[in-house]
Amino acid sequence: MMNTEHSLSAILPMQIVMITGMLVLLLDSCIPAWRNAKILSPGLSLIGVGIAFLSSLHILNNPPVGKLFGGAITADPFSQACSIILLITAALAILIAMTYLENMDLNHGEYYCLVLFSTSGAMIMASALDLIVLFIAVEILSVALYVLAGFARTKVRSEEAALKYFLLGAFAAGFLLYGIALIYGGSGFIGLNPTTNLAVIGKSLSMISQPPAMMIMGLGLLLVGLGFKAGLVPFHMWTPDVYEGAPTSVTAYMAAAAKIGAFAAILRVLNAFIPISGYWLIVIEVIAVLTMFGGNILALTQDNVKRMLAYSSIAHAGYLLVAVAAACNSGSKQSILQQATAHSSAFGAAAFYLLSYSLTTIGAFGVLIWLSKRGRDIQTLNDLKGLARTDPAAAYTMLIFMLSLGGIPPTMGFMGKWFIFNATMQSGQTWLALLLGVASIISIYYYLHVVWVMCFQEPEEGTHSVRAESANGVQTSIYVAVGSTLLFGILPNLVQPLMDAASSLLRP
Amino acid sequence: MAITTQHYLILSAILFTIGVIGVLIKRNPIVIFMCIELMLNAVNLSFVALGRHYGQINGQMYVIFALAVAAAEVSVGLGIIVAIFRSRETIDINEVNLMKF
Amino acid sequence: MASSYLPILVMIGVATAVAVAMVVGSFLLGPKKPNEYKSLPYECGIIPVGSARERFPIKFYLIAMLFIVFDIETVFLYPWAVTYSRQHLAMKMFYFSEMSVFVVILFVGYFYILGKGALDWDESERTPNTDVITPEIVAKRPKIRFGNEGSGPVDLSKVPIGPRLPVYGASSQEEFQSYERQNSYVPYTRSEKLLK
Repeated sequence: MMNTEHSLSAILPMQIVMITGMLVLLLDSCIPAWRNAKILSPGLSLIGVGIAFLSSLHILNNPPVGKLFGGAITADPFSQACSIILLITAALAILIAMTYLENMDLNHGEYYCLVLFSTSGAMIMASALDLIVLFIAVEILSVALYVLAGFARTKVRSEEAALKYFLLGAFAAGFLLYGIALIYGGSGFIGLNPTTNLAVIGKSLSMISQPPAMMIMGLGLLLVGLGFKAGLVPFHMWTPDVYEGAPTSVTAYMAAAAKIGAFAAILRVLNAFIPISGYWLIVIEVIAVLTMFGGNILALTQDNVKRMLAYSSIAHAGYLLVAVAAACNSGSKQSILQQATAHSSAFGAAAFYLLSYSLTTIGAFGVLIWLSKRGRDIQTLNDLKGLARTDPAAAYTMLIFMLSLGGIPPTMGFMGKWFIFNATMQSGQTWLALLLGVASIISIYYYLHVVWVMCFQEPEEGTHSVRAESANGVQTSIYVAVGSTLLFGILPNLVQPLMDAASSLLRP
Repeated sequence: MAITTQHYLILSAILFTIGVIGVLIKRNPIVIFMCIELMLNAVNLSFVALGRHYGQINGQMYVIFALAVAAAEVSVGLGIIVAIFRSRETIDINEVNLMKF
Repeated sequence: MASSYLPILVMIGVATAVAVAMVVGSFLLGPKKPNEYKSLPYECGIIPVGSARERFPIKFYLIAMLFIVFDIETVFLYPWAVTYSRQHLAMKMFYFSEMSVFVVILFVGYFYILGKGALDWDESERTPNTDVITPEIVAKRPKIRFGNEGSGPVDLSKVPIGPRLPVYGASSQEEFQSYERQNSYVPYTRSEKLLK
């Protein structure tokens, strides 16, 4: 029982987020006539996220010792670093949703509770050590996101996005579960008790020379499932449609949170399988290259900004996968010390990049929400024509986000790419680092195209600078995002504690 | 001929493949969804078989979790499908296709 | 090993044989005097109204969805109950508190659907969401009804009947109805029958 209390206190952040979600849900159903749900629900959600953030910081500074829940969940610094990034994302998403829901007449309290539930799911993904816990976490995240994608029930596009996301997500969940079953089966062949615990599997894999074929198949299927969630290239088909069709505030949240959760899970799973990296590292490298180039090339021709950002999010998943490949490269050429350095700097780079990606993506979608008139979404490049003249503040914040996504100094995106580039060079994958550079040069074209449309094209007739009503929420969120993008771009050392925490995940 | 764990695993793999093929070729979301359920249940079969093979209770425990998750997915999925049907009077996947490249 | 499947095989065989025998037997032995009403789909003695592919109210789907979720959650209670029965008293309290948390979470969901009115069967008190269901959609929908309930006495002349059967040979509705009367389709009371 002592042990259980210990375990429960270690997952306090997730519990707080879940309980807040339930409170918001009850509040929404108990006070149906209360029109003020637009202040109350988001306010309560923000408070919950804030408390969870503090408790996560506390756990980061005082990591719990010993096994939690019999080793099924961990509260190590890596998981807390991911949780902190997720909670920041959730707070920003709640802020931009306040404005968006008000403008689109979607003011239902369920929105916030779904955001909170999916955040808790992503947090468990970052903390799961047991694969079945990982599966449940993935589903908590996704089921909430399916509903969110179809949240604008009256819009056919939103419903279509929900259906597509749901069918493909459930399809991917099948692969994920089959992968877990095969890994469970394969783990029986390598001496120890059959298990799905990543820590145990990693330890026993490092002691054998030939892994069972079942386990490699299982890992492959597991990667297919997680790749769907992260939007990696052979499994990316759903991304543009869902991002375009879903309500913009959902797209912003989904683009950030699902990716953080998926990459936290990918990093943790692949870290456990490093001893057999000879079997899968090349696959990860190839997928990383495909994802970077596929996303960037498909983004070139888009004239819908949401769709363009969807393809760009695919490309960013590719950059993150380069960091994963760098973290897991255990080439024989290098000394153990060099490997360990490359490993930890790649993990740090991945964490930094996740933070920078989520801040900038939410900010960029936030600008679209900021500009959306009552009942109408801003989606296409045409809507942004001449924005620098009609609405300079929005145009220049968008400019900064585009620079950051494109990886141009002095923004956070540049520092993130620089860290990943460095880590990849350290781990001895020079070709991958060079391809990363080439891919980001391609990407600069379409990011700057947006900037060019905003700054150097005449505004269309009849487009006035009409900002969203009651834009306090989205404004706060955009200013926070812009501020941190610039601040951390110039002084990346401020994020160092987070990066150190993320890089503390040891090789098995 | 004795039925060994291998047989169960092969059956599960076949069922899983049928599910995957169904998802890829069918056009009705409800049927696609049934195929997805088939995939999940095929996996459940291999969990149970492996758990029995290793003499562990874990396999069956995982099945309960997978079932619960599948049930949650079913209700959300049916909700989405009903919502689409209400506004469009069709759920054919070819007609529910506004967004393209 | 394979021989242990023999009884199952025999059972499958017997079941198939009985089913086939029943169908074939009634086909061969039964008298065939088809009339309009015999060839109609059987609906518990009610004259069918409209197509058999009726629409169900959406509420059934809602109830089904809620049922699936709550039904599956109770599966967790069984392993818990087995483990619970084997614990000491001190541990029992702890186990009980854990399951209470689980049940409380279920009840949160229950109160939510209750508060949202998902379980209210009578929709008349609630205003329909008119922006989802447009008037065109409503116009396209067939009327939802069960059997002929609430429609009052059925006027046989207005019941849609398919093409005339050749055996019957009735060319018009009137001819058909007179034939009906002659062939004592109209139910007699017991006393009338006795009088005849």
